[in-house]
Amino acid sequence: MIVAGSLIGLTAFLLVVLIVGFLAYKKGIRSNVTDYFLASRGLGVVALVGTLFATWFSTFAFLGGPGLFYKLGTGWLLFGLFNSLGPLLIWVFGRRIWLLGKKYNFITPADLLDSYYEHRGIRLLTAIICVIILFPYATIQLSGVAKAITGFTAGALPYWFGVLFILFSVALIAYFGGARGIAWMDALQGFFFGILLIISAFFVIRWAGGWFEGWSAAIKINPEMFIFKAGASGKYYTLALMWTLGWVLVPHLWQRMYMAASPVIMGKSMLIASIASLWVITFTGLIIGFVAKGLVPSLPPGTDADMILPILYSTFFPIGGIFLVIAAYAAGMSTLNSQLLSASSVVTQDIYKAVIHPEAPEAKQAKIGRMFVGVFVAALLIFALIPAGQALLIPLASVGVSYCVLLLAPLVGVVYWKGATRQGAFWSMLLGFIILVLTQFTPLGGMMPGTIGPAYWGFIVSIVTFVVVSRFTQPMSEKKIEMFHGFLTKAINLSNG
Amino acid sequence: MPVKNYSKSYARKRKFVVAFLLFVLAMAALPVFRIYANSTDFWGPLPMTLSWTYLWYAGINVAAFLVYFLLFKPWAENVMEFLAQNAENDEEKEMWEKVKLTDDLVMKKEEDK
Repeated sequence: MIVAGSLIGLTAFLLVVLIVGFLAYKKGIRSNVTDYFLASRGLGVVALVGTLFATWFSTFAFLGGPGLFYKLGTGWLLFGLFNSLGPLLIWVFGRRIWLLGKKYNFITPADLLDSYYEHRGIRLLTAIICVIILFPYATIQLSGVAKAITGFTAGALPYWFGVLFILFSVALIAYFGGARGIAWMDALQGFFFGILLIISAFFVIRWAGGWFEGWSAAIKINPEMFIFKAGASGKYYTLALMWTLGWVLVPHLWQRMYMAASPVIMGKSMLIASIASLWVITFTGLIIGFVAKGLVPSLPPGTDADMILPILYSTFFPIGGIFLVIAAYAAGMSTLNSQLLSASSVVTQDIYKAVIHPEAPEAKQAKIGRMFVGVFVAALLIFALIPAGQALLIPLASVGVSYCVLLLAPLVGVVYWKGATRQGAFWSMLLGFIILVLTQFTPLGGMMPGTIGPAYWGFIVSIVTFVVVSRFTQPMSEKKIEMFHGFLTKAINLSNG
Repeated sequence: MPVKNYSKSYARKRKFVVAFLLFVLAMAALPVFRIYANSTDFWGPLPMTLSWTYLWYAGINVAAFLVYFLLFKPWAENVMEFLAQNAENDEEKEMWEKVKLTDDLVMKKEEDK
């Protein structure tokens, strides 16, 4: 029953993907690279909120999120902090990125940074950081969703089927629909898995026998999970730092800042994203994860906490597994397609156009972009199906997002601090990168003082290097400062008073 | 609509919003450092640590409201006018005009509601 229902649901969703992809293809300007990668910078409130929301929240929102509440208790309360706070960065950085993107026609993060600093090394480093953030996470996301679908259907839908089905859908929407198709699909998918989370939270309370009964049972079983322990703050704030900044600095979210049709749309999206993230995603996850402790005091051996929601469904409402399968597909696909298109834009703009063929016409760039979507799909397929490939990427995927903190200093130099220099930006990224890698993957991490993690060390080194090197190197030209800071100062320092 | 310059009242509003947000973040951090509200006793509908934390996280949403209504919206209403007036060439002027039309439409829809 679950297998048949899942197949019907997945097929129905695939049909929607086809229709949306076709409509977006019809509306799009096929030879225009800005249209393909950024939906002609014309997204309205619904599409922008939908794509911000669904791109940021992967299957993690309804598997990993509740699972970590179940496993870590209060240690995961920051899930609400960074998801309500992160969207406010649209006010701090987003509108500046939008203004510059619109004026100078930027497509990737490296476009903006390289255009200001005029440093090939910065462009390449940015492109490398973007790919590190995007590709390993996309692979793990793909295999995670495929495994979830296999698990929910007790192996009736095999792993390879999940991988192929998701990749086929993602390739369709990314190749034909481009950014517009992805944004429309994201809005639909975000709505779907948001509703599923709300309904699941209600179900969990019902299964627990009521609101207070559910919480009381959980407190009785594990009171420790409801209070903070000593020494947890360092790790807590390391995670909060990178996941808050990620709302603007990971490449696929950064590019969404370019996509807004107008500043009012950006502002509304900021407000809606902050509220919806806190209450639709994190608060429902909190209810599910905490109350589940009273319902399932311990997990079966060898089962990860991510499986808490599927376990609850299989125990109390087996047929509901159908919705989990579809939601896993929807949530995974909505993140994966954005990562895929973003990775393709990075390779097309930052490597092909910037290094190989600077005079490439727009139509050619759009064509190359589509070709790289195909290349990335093939690479994802190989890495997802070969265990050795996953073994290679898992360590990178788990820390991928943390690399976004390295983009903060150079961005501040472009949009806030006139004293920044190209050497300062370059060395801050390079040294920050080296320290982050060393503290993450070598014994050096264990030797560092305090409880903060690699992302914080990389961040600190990056900021200090940026300021110190900028102080002792040649400032940017007056012309460049006027082009960026002059323009922003005039445009930002306005109000109705 | 005449374009006005960055005003003192706008700067005051910005300082107020930033101060409010910092206050909210500081309050939300109290249980993390086990200063206050780190308890399993019920406080309203939830155990105290969770109630306290989410109360202040809701404060972040309030800060988002303040940012939008006090800062973002007034700025956005004015900036398109300015950009269209100060465009360096006709093509750019046309681009900013288009964006302004989008914004005007969004505002009008909001007013109609």
